Amino acid sequence: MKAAPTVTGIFLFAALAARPAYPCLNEVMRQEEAIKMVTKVEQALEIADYNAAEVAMRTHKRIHDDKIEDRLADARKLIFLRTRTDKTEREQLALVADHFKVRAKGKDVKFKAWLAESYEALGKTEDALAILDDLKKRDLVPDAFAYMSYARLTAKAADRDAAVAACKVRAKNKAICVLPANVAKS
Amino acid sequence: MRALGLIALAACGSGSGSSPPSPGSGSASIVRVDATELIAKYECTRCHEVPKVAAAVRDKHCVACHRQILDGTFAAEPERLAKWRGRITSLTDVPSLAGADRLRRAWVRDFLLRPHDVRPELVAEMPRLALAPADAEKLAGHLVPEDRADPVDGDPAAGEQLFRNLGCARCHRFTGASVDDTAMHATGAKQPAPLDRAWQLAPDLRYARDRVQPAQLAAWIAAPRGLMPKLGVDDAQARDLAAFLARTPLAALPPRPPAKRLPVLDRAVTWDEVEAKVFRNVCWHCHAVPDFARGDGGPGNSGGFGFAPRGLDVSSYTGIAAGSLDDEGERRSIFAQLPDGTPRVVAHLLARHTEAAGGIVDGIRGMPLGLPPLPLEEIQLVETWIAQGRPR
Repeated sequence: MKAAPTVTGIFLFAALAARPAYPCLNEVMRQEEAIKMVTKVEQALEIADYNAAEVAMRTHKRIHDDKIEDRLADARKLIFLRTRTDKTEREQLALVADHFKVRAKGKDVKFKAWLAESYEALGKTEDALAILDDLKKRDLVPDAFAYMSYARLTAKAADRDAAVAACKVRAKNKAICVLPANVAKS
Repeated sequence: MRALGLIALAACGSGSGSSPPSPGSGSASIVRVDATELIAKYECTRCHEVPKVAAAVRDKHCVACHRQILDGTFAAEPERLAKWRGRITSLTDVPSLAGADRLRRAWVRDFLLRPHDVRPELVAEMPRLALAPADAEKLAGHLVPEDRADPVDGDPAAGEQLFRNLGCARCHRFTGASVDDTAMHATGAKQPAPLDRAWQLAPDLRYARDRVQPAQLAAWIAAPRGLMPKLGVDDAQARDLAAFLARTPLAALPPRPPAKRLPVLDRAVTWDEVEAKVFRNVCWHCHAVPDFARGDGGPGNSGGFGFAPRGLDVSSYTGIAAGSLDDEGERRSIFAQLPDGTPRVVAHLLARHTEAAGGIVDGIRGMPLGLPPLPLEEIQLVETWIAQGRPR
């Protein structure tokens, strides 16, 4: 014997039938909106506006798209990495490095650059420079931040100046191309 | 050859005489070869209708996707659809391969290996795929199981008169022939549907004598398929027209001057400009980021048309700076200088000009694949941007 449809059941059926693309109704962000949000976050990261990136991410509700979720996870790690202070726990930075180490196993060189930034934060200068030197040699430095990481780490003044100059050409926000006073004078 | 070695039969006989063209009699080269796996490998169904082979899924089907965007049935936001609609200029009509069995097998093989512009009004052309000669031979055998070389008798003079009376030049160019009428042809674009589409698909008849089997040419004229309108000619008249197409003298085409690379500009060129005018406007469609694309990032990113994945994403500054995958699967810069000093990406863009002029650049595939070469001014823009250190 078939069960009579309940009011809740009818409502749920009607809701699902009307909006078939969103099985969890408003709990799931539409993919189009998610793409726009991720783009906004990444644009904010590019100009080092981490506050704007976090504000954009606050609108996020998990969607069933692993690639978009991965991009957001990358963004969160980058914000953490680039807004670190002297008091940031090393264990937390190590987790960021682990994250990008996994991501860098693919063929996308931006993850290698971000891994190098993580190594820089952990004081693993040689590991960071090995990655950045390789990317530089192959003309595959993916962003201006990687040039600045290289500039901060390299011991050669001429290489440092060249990296800062490259940053200024390739950065959307030229303000990121400033070396800390202690490095600039060394 | 292995492909043709499956079964190859050659039967010799008399010509078709004065009987109506009827495939199945006279001299014929017959092969029975199944290249279905190659059709899948090279993804012919992304653009073409192929008999007995299922069409590509919508997200991989260039023509279906474009048509749905144009007619508004593609599931996307209205403003996005409107934006896309304004950009679609190609791949809305593509010749069906259902009629390919009328072609000459050797011509099909050679065309697959060195495609050229056969249909002057179509924006897109057959792309130069990474086809091995054996694959081209097998595909040609699959598409043209029966190849008949016997000539068709007919009166070329009567055929020429018919050509003029029927106004064939309204749809067809016949470059190098005395009947080629560019003024009349230009009016063809304004014909009512579906003749406007037939005009777009109409091949330059210059190639008909090499491209189409003689008897099939006459048969097609007598009873055309697809969008070509019925001409109302009888079999004898069809043979006259076929004889005219096959035998009328053709003047050599003027040589296409080699593309002259323009010097780098004196003014500053930024990413915003080169992205808007070139990378996002043209290249992005096949070289996108797979994370965001509705499809797979395009054949130039995740692979397709028989090409291995190149992982090239030109949709962002970071993406393009990250280069592409080489044949060994390692990342390389698309800006790296080749031995002659030309940046790799510029070499690909210039190579398309060489291909359009009938040449091939060894080791460099012309880009954009299967589309007209970029204007030299746009290539100059890219080269200038690179020379200036790729400023953001």
